[in-house]
Amino acid sequence: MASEEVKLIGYWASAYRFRVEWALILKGVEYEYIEEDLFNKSPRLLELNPVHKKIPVFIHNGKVVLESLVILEYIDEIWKNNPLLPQDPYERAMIRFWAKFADEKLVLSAYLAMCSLEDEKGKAEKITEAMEALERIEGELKGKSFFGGESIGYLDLALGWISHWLPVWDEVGSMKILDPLKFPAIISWMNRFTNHKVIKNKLPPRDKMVVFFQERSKIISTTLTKNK
Amino acid sequence: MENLKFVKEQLKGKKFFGGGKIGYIDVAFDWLNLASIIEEVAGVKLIDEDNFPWLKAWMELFSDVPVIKQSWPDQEKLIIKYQFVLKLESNQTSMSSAQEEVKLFRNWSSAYALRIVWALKIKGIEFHTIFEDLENKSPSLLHYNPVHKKVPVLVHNGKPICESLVVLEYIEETWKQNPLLPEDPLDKATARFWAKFNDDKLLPSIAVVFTTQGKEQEEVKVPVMENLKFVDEQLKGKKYFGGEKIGFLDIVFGWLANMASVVEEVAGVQLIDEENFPLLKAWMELFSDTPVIKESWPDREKLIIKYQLRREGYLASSVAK
Repeated sequence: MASEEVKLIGYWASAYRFRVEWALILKGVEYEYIEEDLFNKSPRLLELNPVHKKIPVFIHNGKVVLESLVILEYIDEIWKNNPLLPQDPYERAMIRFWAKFADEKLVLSAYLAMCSLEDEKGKAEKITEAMEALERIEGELKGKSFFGGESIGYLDLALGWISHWLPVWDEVGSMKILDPLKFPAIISWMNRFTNHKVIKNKLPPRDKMVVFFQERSKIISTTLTKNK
Repeated sequence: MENLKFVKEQLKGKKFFGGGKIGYIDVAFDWLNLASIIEEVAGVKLIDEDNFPWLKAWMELFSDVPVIKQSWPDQEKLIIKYQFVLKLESNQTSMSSAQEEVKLFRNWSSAYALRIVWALKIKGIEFHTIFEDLENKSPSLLHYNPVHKKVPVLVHNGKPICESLVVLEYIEETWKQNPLLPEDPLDKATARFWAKFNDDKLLPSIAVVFTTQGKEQEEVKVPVMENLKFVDEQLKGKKYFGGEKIGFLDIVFGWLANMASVVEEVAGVQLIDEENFPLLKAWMELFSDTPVIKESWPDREKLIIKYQLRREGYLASSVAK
């Protein structure tokens, strides 16, 4: 076990990288973290992920696994302690469905809402989309401590960005997608998640994130306006 | 056991049920001689001497009566017969307990829904199809897929599963025969990676080519060629994406085998030619020719008409911009 090669190539501000890292720590897997500069991509990244040229890149004994949610399932299969996914096929289908839903509907809407600096109407539309998606997620918590039930699971890791990235996006975008009146269950889940002994020591610094996303939103906003 | 107790009590103090000689009831109970056959085939003890001494004694007496003895069917043959019956019964129960109620909401043309049809057929799962008119969605569809309101939706014993890739994984985990995904975790992860690539990158890039024309179409064709090259490479040294047989990834890429030529014809563009993508071309032919795939293709004429209309709509609205 100690001689196993486990490497994670990631980016300091990427929620996708943290999904994988949280999973490894929860399972007590020893790994090496390698930071990649996404704005100056290394030949190594282009070699390991020629299709997307993105992180996270997970390497296990020379084998490369890509796509954060695919990596989570791989990790769960290899290291069977502290399982992240439930056993029942229907429950597994549900968490896969919701993870996909959030990645496709919630992330993009919220991010674009943050980046819509010029376009007030577009921004309002995106905020509405994001809040509608979040409402569905709120329903999925159904009085549970975590999406995984009593302990953190696959869906908590997949949605973990909501707890730490979305508040930053709300701040940078001068918006309030995370309305505590509308989403009380999510707000209390966020507190539990970010205070979890593994998660709280593995989050990017908030102040750095605010600066980073302020810059990103300016650049993206310009691109969006140009493309109209 | 209780029922046999009732029967044995009827024999109290009697030689036969009919008294001194064989009567109506003896004849009615004659099948009890099958008891020994049932005991042997099903591996169960029913009529033992300790619990049913009179019944056991009657069975011997009855069997020995000449007119009865000469009519018995061959014991050996009976054993073989009932062994076979037992096997059939147990197969039915194990299949039907997983089968029970499997419903698939689809429409006539959806490539995503076709994935589910193929997966169910390959695994030999019986299912009911509900065809949806997507311009006029049924209350059932809206009930089972309130989030996306789309097809396909698989409903298994009343529980809905949505999103074709999620449904495929559910089918794989619920019905273990004819596995579609590789066993090795890395191979499985790789298959999932390429499935996502198809849905997130390849298919949308081809859709963009479909909605454009002229110079713009030439430009958006470039990423499609790159994407197709990646896919073509995955077939190196393999008959199917799944190896020797059709697997999960063949099902995911399967839409190429019929839709690529529809897009090419309707949008007037060449996408998958033999020179650039020999492996993909060969795979498309092999895949299309597989009976379970071939019998499920939507009508090509209808598809051409549908997509011609669609393309006209896109081009008209882009001119209006």
